[in-house]
Amino acid sequence: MLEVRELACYMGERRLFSPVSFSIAGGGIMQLRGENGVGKSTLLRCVVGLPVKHSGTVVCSSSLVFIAHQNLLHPDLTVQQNLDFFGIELVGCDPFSVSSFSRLRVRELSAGQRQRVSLTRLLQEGRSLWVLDEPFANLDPDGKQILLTLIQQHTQQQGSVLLANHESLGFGEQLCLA
Amino acid sequence: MSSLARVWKRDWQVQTQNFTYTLTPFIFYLTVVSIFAVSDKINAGVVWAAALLAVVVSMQSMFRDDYNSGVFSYLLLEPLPLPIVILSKVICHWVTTQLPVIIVTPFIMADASIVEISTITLSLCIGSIALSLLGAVVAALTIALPQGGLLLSILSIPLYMPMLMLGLSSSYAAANSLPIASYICLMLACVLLALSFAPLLVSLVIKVNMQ
Repeated sequence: MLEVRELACYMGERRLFSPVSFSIAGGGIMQLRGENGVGKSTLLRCVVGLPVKHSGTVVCSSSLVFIAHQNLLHPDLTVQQNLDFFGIELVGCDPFSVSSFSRLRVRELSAGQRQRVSLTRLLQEGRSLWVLDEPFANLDPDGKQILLTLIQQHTQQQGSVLLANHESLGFGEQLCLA
Repeated sequence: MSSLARVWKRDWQVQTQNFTYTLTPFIFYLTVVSIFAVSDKINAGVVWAAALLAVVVSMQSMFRDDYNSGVFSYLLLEPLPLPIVILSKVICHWVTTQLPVIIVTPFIMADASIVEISTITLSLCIGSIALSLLGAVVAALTIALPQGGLLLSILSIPLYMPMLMLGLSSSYAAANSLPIASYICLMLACVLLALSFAPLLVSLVIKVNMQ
């Protein structure tokens, strides 16, 4: 599903971390760990195919969804209008209880609510690889539990997850960048 | 709904739900024209200069929100080619910010002849498309700068000069009962030229800015 060989990312001429190799098969979870600024987010951006200066190879054989720090939400639009842009319908599938505030403009939401809306993009159909950059940030304990449950359900259905997170999930593989 | 339709719908909603985007260039245009109207009658030069400045004012918001919110990263990962997205954004931006200016122009030039009014409206209609496309390139170049507005103005106004001269020439030709076809054809050629390279160039600049 995802294979990374000798991947190193660069900021200008500076190498951010030593080359890493890993692979994730269907049903697998890989958690990236490392200090702030070590390049976890940059590695994720590189893996999903965004323009990042790098060496090494990335082979991804499945469609993916990328949840980054930036929430992709336009502050002047309502939650529903933002979700329409991603082709997401909340009817019958709303694990983060977004429909309760779907008529509000994004600028009126708290950081946690914005993160819940952003994570709703995980419900886009046919995305078997989830790439998540600190997905638990700003979430309350309920939100964190919902996300953990979704991740477990996704891997049970042979989906894969690559995430950068400061706290251990307690399951899946870990890779420390240095 | 296709990806392109969703991009168009979102841009349309952003432009029409926040009146700052649509009203600012329109009111700016009317203000500049009104200032000149106090001292002299409104002529083609005033209308074109005001329209050109209105384009500069409107360009600052063209890509910035999408860049800051990460939407371009999302769009890069989608199958829809980014130049097509850019073209859709430019067209939406033109319809919501330049078209109102073009529509109101015949009314503020009420004392001119029908030929003059129709010529300047036609030249503005064609010219503003080229201005929007060229402005999109400059807007992309300044997208990552926190205070890019001034630089955008300095960079874009020289690029707009050929269209300004062609637009004014066609208006003066019409006022003197001379043929305007050559000027209009040249303006159309500029639009086609801008259409051929601006979306590609904007995409490239945005990708470079994202590194």
